Amino acid sequence: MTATTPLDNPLRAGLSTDRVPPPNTMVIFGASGDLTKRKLVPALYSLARDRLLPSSFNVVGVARRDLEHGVFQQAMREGCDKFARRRPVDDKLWETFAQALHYSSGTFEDPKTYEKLKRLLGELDEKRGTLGNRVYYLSVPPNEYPIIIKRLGEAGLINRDRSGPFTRVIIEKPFGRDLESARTLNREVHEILREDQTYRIDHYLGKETVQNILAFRFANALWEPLWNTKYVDHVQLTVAEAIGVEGRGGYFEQSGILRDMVQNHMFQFLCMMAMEPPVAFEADAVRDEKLKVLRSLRPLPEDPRKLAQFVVRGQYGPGSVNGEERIGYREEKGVAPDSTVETYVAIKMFIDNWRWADVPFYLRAGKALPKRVTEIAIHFKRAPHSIFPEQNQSRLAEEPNVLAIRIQPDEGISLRFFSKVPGPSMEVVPVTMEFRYGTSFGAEPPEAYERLILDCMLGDGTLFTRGDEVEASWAWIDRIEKAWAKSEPPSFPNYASGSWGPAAADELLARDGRKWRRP
Amino acid sequence: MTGDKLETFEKGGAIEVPVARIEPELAALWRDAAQKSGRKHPITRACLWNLIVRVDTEPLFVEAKRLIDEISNQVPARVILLHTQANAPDAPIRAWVEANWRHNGHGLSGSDEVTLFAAGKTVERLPSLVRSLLVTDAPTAMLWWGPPPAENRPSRQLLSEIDRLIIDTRKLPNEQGLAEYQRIWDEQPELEIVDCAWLGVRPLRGLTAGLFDPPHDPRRLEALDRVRVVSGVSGCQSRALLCFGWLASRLGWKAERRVHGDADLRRWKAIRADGGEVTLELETRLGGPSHGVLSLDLEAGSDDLRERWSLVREQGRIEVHGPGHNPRVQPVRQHSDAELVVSALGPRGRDPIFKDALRETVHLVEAL
Repeated sequence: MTATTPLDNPLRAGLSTDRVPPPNTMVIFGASGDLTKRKLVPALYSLARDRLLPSSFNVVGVARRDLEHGVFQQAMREGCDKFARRRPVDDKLWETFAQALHYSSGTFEDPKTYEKLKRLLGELDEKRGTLGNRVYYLSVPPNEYPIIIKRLGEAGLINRDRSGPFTRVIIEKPFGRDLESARTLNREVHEILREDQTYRIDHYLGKETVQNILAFRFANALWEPLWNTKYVDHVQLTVAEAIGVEGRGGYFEQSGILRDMVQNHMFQFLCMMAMEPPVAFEADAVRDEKLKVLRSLRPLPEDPRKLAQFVVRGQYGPGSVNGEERIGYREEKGVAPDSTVETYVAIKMFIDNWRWADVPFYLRAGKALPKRVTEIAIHFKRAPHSIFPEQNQSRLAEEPNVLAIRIQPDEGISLRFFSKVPGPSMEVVPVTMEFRYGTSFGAEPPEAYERLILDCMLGDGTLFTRGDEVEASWAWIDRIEKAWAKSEPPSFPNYASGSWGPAAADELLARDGRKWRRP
Repeated sequence: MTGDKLETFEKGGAIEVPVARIEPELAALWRDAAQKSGRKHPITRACLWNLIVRVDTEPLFVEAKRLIDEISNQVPARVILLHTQANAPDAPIRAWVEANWRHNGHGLSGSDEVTLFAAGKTVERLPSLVRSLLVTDAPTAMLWWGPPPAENRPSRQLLSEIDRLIIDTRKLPNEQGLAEYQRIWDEQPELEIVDCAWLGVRPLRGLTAGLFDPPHDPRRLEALDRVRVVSGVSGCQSRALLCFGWLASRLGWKAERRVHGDADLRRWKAIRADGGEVTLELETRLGGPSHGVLSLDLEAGSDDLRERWSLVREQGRIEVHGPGHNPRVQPVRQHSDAELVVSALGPRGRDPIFKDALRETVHLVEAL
């Protein structure tokens, strides 16, 4: 039979929003973990509910625990009942969906695990017409990625050729913990897989509002002339969380917020906000432009004293958030009582290219802050000359136009500009024009995992991170980590839970005559 | 502004206003509502569409008010509801304004609704009033249930003012209405016409297409020689007919002729692109579940190697079977009129396939 794509099917015309991938089997390593039950299988169920999965489709869970298929299916049903976007779960649909759920036990190091898996996948291809197409989802600690990929390769479970059935592998962050480990991981992955078979997932990129940054910038001619050093005074990126480490103290002690949040999520926002227009909305075209941004980041000084002019770190102490009492980071479970790990970081950085020359980008990410908010705020320069009366001058200088892209919650975009106050005098005040997703679109957006899993099955890597992006971001972050390692231990904690971070973060902007926006 | 008026407005009640003061009254009500709420509950006045709805009877007016409430909860629109009684004695135009509110996150957002009543000759003055009330830069849709507006009626004038006409061909008194809409489209090709009946066929289209996605060879569609649709509704069988029209337009079937016709079974013959013949059968089976398409069967092949694909709707789901396919059950549900209109106002309202499907459907309806 000639290979065909859904586009060859004349009945598919006009159904372009229903992107149905080819038949395939998704193998989830670490299937007994929380992510599978809370996110992955509920996302697959919701895709099935929306008719976005092919009729020939399987899920195979792989984990160490010995489980019957039925027990695995029951656990997944419970997960869907609690966490699927499309609820309540339809019993009849579940019957057919559950027929596609399988389980195979074994340790990830043991070659026998993969022999058994190979037999099962062969049987499923035969019985359910999945054609040998595979998506492997590695929902396991990063140190297990190399052995799983290696064993898959040894067992002949990966097709590296561009012809024949496809093999794609999804891996979760962190992609390394520094440049060296990221390079090692990439090297090990590339021994078995082509880069375009590797899907590094960052669930933030599956959020509608993050994707909307691209639509907002490149579907509107209005912004492009203003999107540069001539009109932009500075940019603030904020990822604030009201929660602390919430039982993840052990993990957080190894990472800190710089690695956990800035190197991946924040750099992805930064790239989308700052990149040049790609030649097309295609994976490599978009990722090439993101990579250029990362390569244009001005290196920070390695001398810790000079670095302090650009980077502020903090750690939360006791306090209260939303009126509730909170313990400090050092009192959290799994955290050393004298820990020097940062839970807050503020960075002043520059992108040394034609578009953004000398425009400061201020990034801040923190835990135990007053509220959960993620946003990008573009602060425009003040008007070059004011013709208005004296009483307006300070306002015009201090409250310039701001375009804020709110990623979560209350997703939307607001634009602050000046308007005359009605009345006999010429008094101008800032007013805000708001666009909110919730107001304009009634439709419920898909979960980030739904979008990303579907994209992977369709072979679209646009919203996934490429290996060279990962290395470029680590190369920049490493300088900070190294400088911190050389410096005196900081005097932590230096901000109270429920505050907006350490005073030094405010000073970072105050030195430039600016201040943080209160989101 | 009196406190009573504001209170009525805040509760979503209608306030009668002079026709010449519709905009100023609305502006004042919004301003006062915002001032009263202060900064505790931010108020947003939102509008993505101008939506014109026209009714000519009291029961339809009541039904339209309910529908508008549901639609406004999903899509913020300035709704202009035209309540007309063309055959009644002349009466001055009357106007009411109100807000459709919905809670949104931490705030409250609302949209405008303007109701205009006209009787006798004053109905002819409505189009000019409607034009003045359209929100600048927002696209305009008109919701129209029933036969297309006659050529000499004021509402027909409005067709040239709108971007999207939302109809529901299930509510047509007869199937000839499909042909009348086709003629309107031919006269005004830039108009987007969205049929709620067609939107309801979309899940079936997706599932049918899925039967011929890889690894299944879509070329098997070229050999189809029999299509049978069972309908569970009486009256205009637009969903069933549009299924045929869709298949005919996508697969290049032509020259349909009617070979059998009674109340329960109609049969047509069409010619495939390769010159072969296709039999189209529409059976009406009342008394069971009520839907325009209870089942769709496709058949192809010789007597000794016959292939059959079927989609059967039963109790909120469609069961899908086909050679080489894993059995599939897809939950579906009846969509309310409001849900279909909301969908019609969204991206699915722009379906380039519908125009061709309607044209082929009209061929079937007019086939002798």
